[in-house]
Amino acid sequence: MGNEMISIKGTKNGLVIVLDPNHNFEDIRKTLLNKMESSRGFFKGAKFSIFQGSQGIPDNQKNELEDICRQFGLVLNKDSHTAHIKEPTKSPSRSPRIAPQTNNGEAALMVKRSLRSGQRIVYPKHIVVLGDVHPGAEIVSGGSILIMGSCRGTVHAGAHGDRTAKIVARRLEPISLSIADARHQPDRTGANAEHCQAARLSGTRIIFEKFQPGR
Amino acid sequence: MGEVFVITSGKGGVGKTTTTANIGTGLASAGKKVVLVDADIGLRNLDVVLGLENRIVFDIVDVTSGNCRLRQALIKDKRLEGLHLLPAAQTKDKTAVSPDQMRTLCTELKKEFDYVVIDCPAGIEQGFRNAIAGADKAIVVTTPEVSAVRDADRIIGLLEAAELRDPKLIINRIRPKMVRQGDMMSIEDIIDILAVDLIGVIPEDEMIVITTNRGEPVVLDQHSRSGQAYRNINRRILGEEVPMMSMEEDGFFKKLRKIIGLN
Repeated sequence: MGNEMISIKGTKNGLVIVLDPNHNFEDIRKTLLNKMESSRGFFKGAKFSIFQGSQGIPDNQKNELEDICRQFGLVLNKDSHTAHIKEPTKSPSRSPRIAPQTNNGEAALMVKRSLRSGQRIVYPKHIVVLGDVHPGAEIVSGGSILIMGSCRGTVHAGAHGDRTAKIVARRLEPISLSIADARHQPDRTGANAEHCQAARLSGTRIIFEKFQPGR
Repeated sequence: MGEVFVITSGKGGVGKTTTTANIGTGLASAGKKVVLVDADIGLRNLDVVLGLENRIVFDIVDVTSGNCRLRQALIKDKRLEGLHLLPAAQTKDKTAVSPDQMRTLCTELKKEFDYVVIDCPAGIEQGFRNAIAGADKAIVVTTPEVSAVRDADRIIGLLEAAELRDPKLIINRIRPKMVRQGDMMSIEDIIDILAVDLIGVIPEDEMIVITTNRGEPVVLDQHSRSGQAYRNINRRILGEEVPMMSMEEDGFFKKLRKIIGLN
């Protein structure tokens, strides 16, 4: 499974390409190449670092992978080594990890009610709403937005430019929905299909899809 | 000790004043002692709808500013023994009364009356804040239009912020035929958005216009459907369990009964 072999995650310090060193190097190389080709320049200009868990891979192999990334316009992040060195001492677990904060989850604002028209929540990190977001209500989050009820209001995730931000709701029928600098205004007449429970950014387009746990 | 209801909506023209007049008149005809308070200072209508316009001597601003005693300003209804009106001032504006003064006024009125029903002005500014200041419970009126429902939602949010929780909803001017054709929001749609308890649905009815112009609330008209709908609301306020009336032979309102849990 390619997904397990390589996963690309966005962090504050740019992209982190996480490898599973238990796989054959040649497979890893091919998967990375495939991923970069299928991304069609989406990662261009992004800082990146390669992280391969606690075991590590030989330097020549690592250099080869970095070269692949450079070919697709990525820029190597010089600080990447610190992440590599710190990790094994901090956590005894062997599974690949990016940064300590991801292990423990990330801070989010919990809103324990429904938001009615005219009510507005602005928060620099993730926002979780234990209720509905009614038409005329507004949520602006620096990170992702999770709504346990229906989302019928105006929602903006990744307001400070986080393009990995997602919007997930039990029913996603917003008046308008934005992620980073992309904006989507659904037709008033056409209700979103039942399975559209999550929105994320793919390139410059917002795509709606069924929510898949763990992704 | 009586109870203070505020009738509010956010949007104008959805039927706050008509509803206030009909709830007040209905409760009074059920033998309760009721006072209606017109909080729409500067745009008073409630006296006209009740047909009491020509009896006004003092108004709410005279009472709150100490120009007269409360008893002097209260107008007794010409038909019903228990019904009274405290009219709004017409030559002043909303800032002539403060929320504190309204709270004091409501406390006074509660001592003497079983029900105090406040007719709230449209909007969310000082007039609204005055009207809800002394209220114990709120009734939100809306019509099956997106704009009215949106405003009702805003109002419910503001009521919650003012510690007036669980308001009851009246859906006014519904046209079952249009709902069936999919041209009008259904009761289910509205409840789904607003997420509050329904206390009644008033069908669109020409009799409302006729009775309003005559100054005789429709609730006293035994033949009209809207009058029946208001009588049902009043019985629910008095604590009776009344099923939603069927407006169509095919039982369009059967679903409605399920929504509010009355079978």
